[in-house]
Amino acid sequence: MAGSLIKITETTVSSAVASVTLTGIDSTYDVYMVSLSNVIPATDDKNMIVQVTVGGTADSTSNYDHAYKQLRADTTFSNTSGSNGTSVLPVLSLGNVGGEGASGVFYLFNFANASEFSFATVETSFVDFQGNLKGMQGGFVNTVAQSCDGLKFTLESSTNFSTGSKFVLYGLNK
Amino acid sequence: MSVSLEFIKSASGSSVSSLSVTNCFSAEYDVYQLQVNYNNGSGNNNLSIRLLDSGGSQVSTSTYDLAGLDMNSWTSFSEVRSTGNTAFINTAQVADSNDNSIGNTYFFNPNLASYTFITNQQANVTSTDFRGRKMIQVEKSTTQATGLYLFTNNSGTANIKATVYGVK
Repeated sequence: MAGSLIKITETTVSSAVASVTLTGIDSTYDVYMVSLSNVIPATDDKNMIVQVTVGGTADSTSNYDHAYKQLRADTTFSNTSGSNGTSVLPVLSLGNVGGEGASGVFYLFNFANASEFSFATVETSFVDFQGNLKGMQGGFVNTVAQSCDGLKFTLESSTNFSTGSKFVLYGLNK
Repeated sequence: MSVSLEFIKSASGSSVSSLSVTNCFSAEYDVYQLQVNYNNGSGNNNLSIRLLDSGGSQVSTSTYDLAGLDMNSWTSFSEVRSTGNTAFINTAQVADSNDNSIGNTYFFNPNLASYTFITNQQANVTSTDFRGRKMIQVEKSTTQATGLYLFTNNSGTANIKATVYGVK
């Protein structure tokens, strides 16, 4: 239904930064959406790392399960999955040459509910450092019954996000 | 309370082989949602989409790449991959007059001088069988697009309705 997507917060990187944290998730909405656009690493060939936040601080405990189908234009698709990780990687080997970068949409479920695990569905589309179109279709879960208030985005090897990288958190009106 | 999914424009045509949605992309939004209802086709028609540049001309260079998964109700799933296409291809599919295809596509940064990415999901009924699709595509010319040109891949006709929203 048009008119039901409510912006909570956004960050557009204006000078290179090593992390972006979107917070503001609470019980106001049941479902939240995050959009990523024009996300570019300062250094070529970097994975993007995502963690949930609790009270604004990233949860780095070994409580992330994920499963993706990796779509790619250059060769056979692959499955990517794992349990009990300390984070999830929805973008792999991201490029930064020319117009390369990453985009995507996450839907977040149960994040504010302290009695439930926090779930996310993930759809990303990006061009890697070799110029190949790739994307992850799947999701992840943080297997801790805790109230999460957002997501933290970082890049492999503490690489910075380049200027123009944009991250937006929305609530879906109920 | 401000809302963040804003209607921009809608266009439709009955028994047409193409449809333009002009001036729907601007610097006002980074992310767009395109909803397509595609039905009553003739022939095995996949729907393709080209970007329109600032002069309204189609971006038809071989700069479109695709990776997608066809999820078929009557047979095994299949991977679809191609590079150097001249359009975003396979964005919806109908085969005959009883068919219907519903597609939802996000466009990322079409009006920016960078690559334009899309993610697309479809629910298609083709010749009584169901096909779901999940796909990603990219257009690599770094054209600052202002609109869309939708067209059937074999010049067959269909009813097409396209609605564009901005994700603010």
